[in-house]
Amino acid sequence: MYQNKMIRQKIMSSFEIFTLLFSIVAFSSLVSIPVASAESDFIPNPETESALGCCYDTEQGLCSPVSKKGECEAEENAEWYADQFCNLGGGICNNVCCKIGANNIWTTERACAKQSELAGIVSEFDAGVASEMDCISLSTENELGACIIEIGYEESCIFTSSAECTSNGGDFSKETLCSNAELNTSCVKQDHIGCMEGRDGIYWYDSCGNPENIYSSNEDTSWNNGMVLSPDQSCNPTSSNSNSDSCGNCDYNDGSVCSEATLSSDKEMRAGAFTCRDLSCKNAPSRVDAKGEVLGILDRSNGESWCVYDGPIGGGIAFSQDLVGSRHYRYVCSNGEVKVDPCKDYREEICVEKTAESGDSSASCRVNTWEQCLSANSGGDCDGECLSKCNKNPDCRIQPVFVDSDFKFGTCVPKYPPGFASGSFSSALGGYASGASDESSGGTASDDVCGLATRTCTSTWIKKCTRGGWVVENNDKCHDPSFTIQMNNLCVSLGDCGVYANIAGKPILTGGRVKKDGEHGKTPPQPMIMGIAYMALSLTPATSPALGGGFDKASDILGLGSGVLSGIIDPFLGAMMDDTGDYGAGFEPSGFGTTGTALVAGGIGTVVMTGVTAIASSGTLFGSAVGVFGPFAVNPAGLVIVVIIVALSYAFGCGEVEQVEITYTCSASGPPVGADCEMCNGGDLKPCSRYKCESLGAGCELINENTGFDECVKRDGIDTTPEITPLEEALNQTMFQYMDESRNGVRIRTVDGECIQSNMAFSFGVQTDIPAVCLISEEPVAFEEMPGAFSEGAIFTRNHTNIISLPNAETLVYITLGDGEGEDQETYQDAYGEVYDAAVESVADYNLYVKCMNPMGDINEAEYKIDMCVNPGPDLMNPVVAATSPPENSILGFGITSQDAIFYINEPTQCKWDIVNPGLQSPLENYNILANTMTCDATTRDMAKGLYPCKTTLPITAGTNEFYVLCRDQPWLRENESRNIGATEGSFYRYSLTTSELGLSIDEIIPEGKITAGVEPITVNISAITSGGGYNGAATCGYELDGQNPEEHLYTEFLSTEDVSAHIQPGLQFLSGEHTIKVKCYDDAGNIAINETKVDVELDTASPSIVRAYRDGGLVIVTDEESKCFYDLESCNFDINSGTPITAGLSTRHMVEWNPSSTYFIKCKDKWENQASGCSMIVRPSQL
Amino acid sequence: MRGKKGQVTIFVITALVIVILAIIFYLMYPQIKSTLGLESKNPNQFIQDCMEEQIREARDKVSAQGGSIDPEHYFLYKDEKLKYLCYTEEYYQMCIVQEPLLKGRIEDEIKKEISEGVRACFDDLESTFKGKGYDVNLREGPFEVELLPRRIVAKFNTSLTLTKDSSEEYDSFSVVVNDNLYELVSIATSIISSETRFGDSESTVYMNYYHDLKVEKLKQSDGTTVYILTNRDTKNKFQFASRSLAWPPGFE
Repeated sequence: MYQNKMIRQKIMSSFEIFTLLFSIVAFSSLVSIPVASAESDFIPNPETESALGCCYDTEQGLCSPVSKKGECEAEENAEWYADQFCNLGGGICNNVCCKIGANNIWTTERACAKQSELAGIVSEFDAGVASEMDCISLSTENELGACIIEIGYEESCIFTSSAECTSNGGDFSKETLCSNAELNTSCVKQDHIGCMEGRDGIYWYDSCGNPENIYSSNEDTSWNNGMVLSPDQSCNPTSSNSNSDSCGNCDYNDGSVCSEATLSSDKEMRAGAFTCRDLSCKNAPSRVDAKGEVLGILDRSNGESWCVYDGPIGGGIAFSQDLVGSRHYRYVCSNGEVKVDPCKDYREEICVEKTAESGDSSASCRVNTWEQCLSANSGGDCDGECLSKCNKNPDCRIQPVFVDSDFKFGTCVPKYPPGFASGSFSSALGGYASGASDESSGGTASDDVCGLATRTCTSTWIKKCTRGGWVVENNDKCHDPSFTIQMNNLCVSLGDCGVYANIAGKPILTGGRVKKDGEHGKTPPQPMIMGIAYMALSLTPATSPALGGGFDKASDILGLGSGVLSGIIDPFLGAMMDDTGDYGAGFEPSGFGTTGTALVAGGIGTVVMTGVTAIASSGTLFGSAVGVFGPFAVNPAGLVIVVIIVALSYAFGCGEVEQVEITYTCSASGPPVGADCEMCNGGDLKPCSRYKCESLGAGCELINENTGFDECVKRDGIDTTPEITPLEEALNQTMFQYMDESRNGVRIRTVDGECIQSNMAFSFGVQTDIPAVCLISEEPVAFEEMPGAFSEGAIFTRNHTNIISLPNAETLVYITLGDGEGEDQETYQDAYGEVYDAAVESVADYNLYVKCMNPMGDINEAEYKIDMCVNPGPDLMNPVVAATSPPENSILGFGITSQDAIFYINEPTQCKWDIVNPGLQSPLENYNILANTMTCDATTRDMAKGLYPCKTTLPITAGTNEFYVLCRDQPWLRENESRNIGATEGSFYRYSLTTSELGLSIDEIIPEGKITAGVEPITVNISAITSGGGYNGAATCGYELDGQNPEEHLYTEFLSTEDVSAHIQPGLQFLSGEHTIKVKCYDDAGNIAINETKVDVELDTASPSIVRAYRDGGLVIVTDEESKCFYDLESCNFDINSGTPITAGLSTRHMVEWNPSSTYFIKCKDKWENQASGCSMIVRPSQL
Repeated sequence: MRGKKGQVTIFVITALVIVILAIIFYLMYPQIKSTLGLESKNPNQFIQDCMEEQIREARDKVSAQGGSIDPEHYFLYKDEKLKYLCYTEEYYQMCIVQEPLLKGRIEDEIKKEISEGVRACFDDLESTFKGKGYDVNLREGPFEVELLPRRIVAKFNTSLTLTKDSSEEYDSFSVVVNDNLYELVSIATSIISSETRFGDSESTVYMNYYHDLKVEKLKQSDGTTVYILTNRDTKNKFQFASRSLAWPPGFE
């Protein structure tokens, strides 16, 4: 019976420990360790003061792991050992069950002796007790009895242990109560009842205050004639007795413990106000809404734990469902109270649960491996290996998109999508945002994650004269609602992205948008139509807990790419996406350290080719998500004229083909506007956090964070309408100026008061008097209809900046049509007539309109106008390569023969390259002689940067490869010599790539071969040394022990590894036997190396033997291994450390003074503290 | 006549009551004497009474702040300075123990906190017994504070000789305070060990082992974990902070 209870407790404890261990292992396997140099404080040189090891208190016998050498050695009576986890020889840090009097404590042998000495009680320790739990449980079996002590002239009785009694000079009567008549004490039996420290039950106490037996209303039976009665022999031993008023035999393992009866539910004993307090949790909350209101209850056993969520979780039928702002919680029934243990916020951890056969559940918070899901897609769509990895990871699922036969793909998405920290929210207006809070990146990581669901479906339309008009050839369903629904479902599944709902059930309508570029076909509905459905879903509870107490086979961390988030947090990820939205080109452009997203005005094409669409969709909420203005400003009358012209131009174009692009843009959801902050402060069942608070409304903020007085409140001063003024510091005032500033707007001109040169990027900005989100439009439209955002995106801030590059009229026509005709303004005028006039008019008077919204959703009614104009003169600026991918001077992998490259140019150009500099005098001659032409497409300019990509494939040979690039602008001018040529400062752009001279190699893995230790496990620091590769051995490495996962090759990153050649992992614990350490490394050039080593841990548990003793200038003894020897002249019964040392250090030869009249009782110990139980040898010199 | 009989009866009853009270007083004299404060305290009891509350106060102060009277590196939680017993400022790394010999440090802190009170108590002792006509010879020596299972013991190597009609000598004094600080510190040490190894600890396991223990583990968003260990019976607490295996706050 008792054993069963113990086993149950053990299982529960073991599971809890396992889940803890698992989550740590999983974590260490999954996190990408941040940059740690070899000089990291965590891996110090063992010789330094900051070296980490075990601090041993020689007096108290206590061990402290992971302690600094300097701090330890500064203490009196402390020794420092290099083993961080205190696996010290002789097991001096191993705990044993120490019995001191009536108490058992779990401590070291030395500490046991010390406590015994201090308490003045002889202690015993039982090395056979394997666990702390067993040790503590055995306290109840310690023999107690009456101890008669004479104090002064009076005799007193104390109920205690034999050892304690003896130490106090008392007379001990085993298993006898002080009230036993035979003892003839003044203690009267059964005076009152109460709890007893260290025991579960309610005990009788005699009139002297000594505990007796467990309370029973049958007093005689309970008194047992004055003899001790064990709990098993007492009343109702198999019950918790929590409903009894007559039996105080409470039992923790049965779910009760003695307590004062203070609760209404307590059943009071007849003899006093004590109860066997029921430790189970009646009516424990099993479902709790985000406000902390209990929606469902269930009775739980003591020690039982379960998961509670804020709403639906995991992969539903159509998408991953975790709500914005939601969190996973682990609830534990602990001694009758429900404890709330929140998993890490932002769903970095998820709560998993399993149910035992008994029906009790155990839950734990473990790492959410969502990053692996996204990384698995690194090859593009998820198929083949990606599918396999995705299916094996219980935190991932495949999100299928099947809109039409030519627009179908699967994506490996998180089953429990992550939340995003504030600053990454695209907020209430997520759909508009492309902006960045990070100045260096030009976009937030959450934008990059959400951006994986930004996809374009291209439908092909052909004009069939015989069938009376335009006919769609493929992807016609991309014009249907199913496109919007499926893409938003994908978007929502990636993280806090897309149109979805928060934990308050408030729909967030702006995390996604749909745009159609092209004249034909319908525009699919905007995803906001799904808001109501998501709101309804948010009110449904989680149907089942998250899966996987662990997952069977994790994916290859290192195999997934450069770090867990490789390719995901790349700020230029958008640039790596090809036309179909696939990504993973694996390199990034360089030299583009701009402030946020570039804004390139342009796109008269949307006027010309999609002018109809522009009008039709003008009522929609959404515009460009990347800060790029679609329609370039023209007035409505002009638009109508343009449309008519376009229609006439193409009316008879039979067989003409149009590609219509329908793009779903996915961005971070963010909070809704408003300030419903109070529901965060719901109480202990659902504690508030910054993430939860901020997800409730843009006007909410958490105050007193991490003080214990955290509270979610409405921000101060956010109720007024934002007042807009120009932001001086955003403008380069050596070149430009703000002019004619008023409440309604401002002009931007050059310092000379002139219009601005075309194709020149410059920054500008506005500021607001309170935090606000500002949007821009080229026309004075409602805030909701404004298509553009500032670089800050939809973050509520005071400063709003952007970068713009204004095209001239010719550029505008060209990037719209993809082609153009006319060598000068006159021929353009002839060719395009009104269209060209409209473009000229636009650039001559280019206005931007700004509106801002405060966190409560209030918007300034009058738009703020920013007036700009483009210098109408000819384009005299040479084109410039603004960025490249791979970055300039990149090091490539060893042995590669070709490399795809993209050159980003600041204006539409044609570019060519060669491996030699022709060195001709004329730029045009140079340009013409270059052998290789890039593919430049002005109509598909890079949306993220407002640049124009030119792509090519470069041949690579071993060593340094140089390429000479020239670009020629204004392609519409054909061979007109007025076209500007250049790539940097009017000349060649020299682009250099170098291959790795050597492959990456792992030269050494330490340790290797045999390691001898005196105790197991031993703590081992493993290290690997890399060389070669692209960066002189600097690489990132992971290790795998004993083929833990041979199929999947799960490598754990070394703790100190990133971009160094010495990779160190401290603190691994090895048991004796043979171990295989496999190491895999990669460097930034893409080189990969794998190596392995074997380690054989041998345990030395044999004590040293004396193999010889003889006289040679003294008494010489020889041991069979290096040892320290000590002697005593009395007997073998001495503590070796208190014996007289024969040798100062470790040696096989030991010498002591020759004294024929003495007998030497000698004990020796080796460096592992192994020693014989008795004497190693007794030497009588007289007999030698 | 009946009146006289009644009077006698009353006298007899009164006499009996007096006799019974006298017997009870005789039997219970030590307790009554003690209760009424008639007994002059012996020096040991005097020091016990004088120091016990001070030790408890010092213990409360130390326990509320992670074992330190004036912690330098602490986490401010509900206006209390919780000392970091294990800490790393970095993300994704296990903590380093900040107080390797915690038990010894707490003993030192309590000792430091009560040191002025010790002097005052012995001064009081001296003046009290001088006031009672004793010739007092007090030689103050060092003292130690030890945390032991279920008690705190302060040992004073101070000798005292009281001389009046006869002479009484006391070589040392000790004060025993029943307290669970030793147990709580042991559990705190175990939690710290777990934090160094796993970056976390499983608090419910401790409660399964020690049925009178309550462990509150409060995770903060900066990666700090506040631990509050409470003995359910005595309500004694020991609280401290740890920062291990912290993660950045969310994905940005």
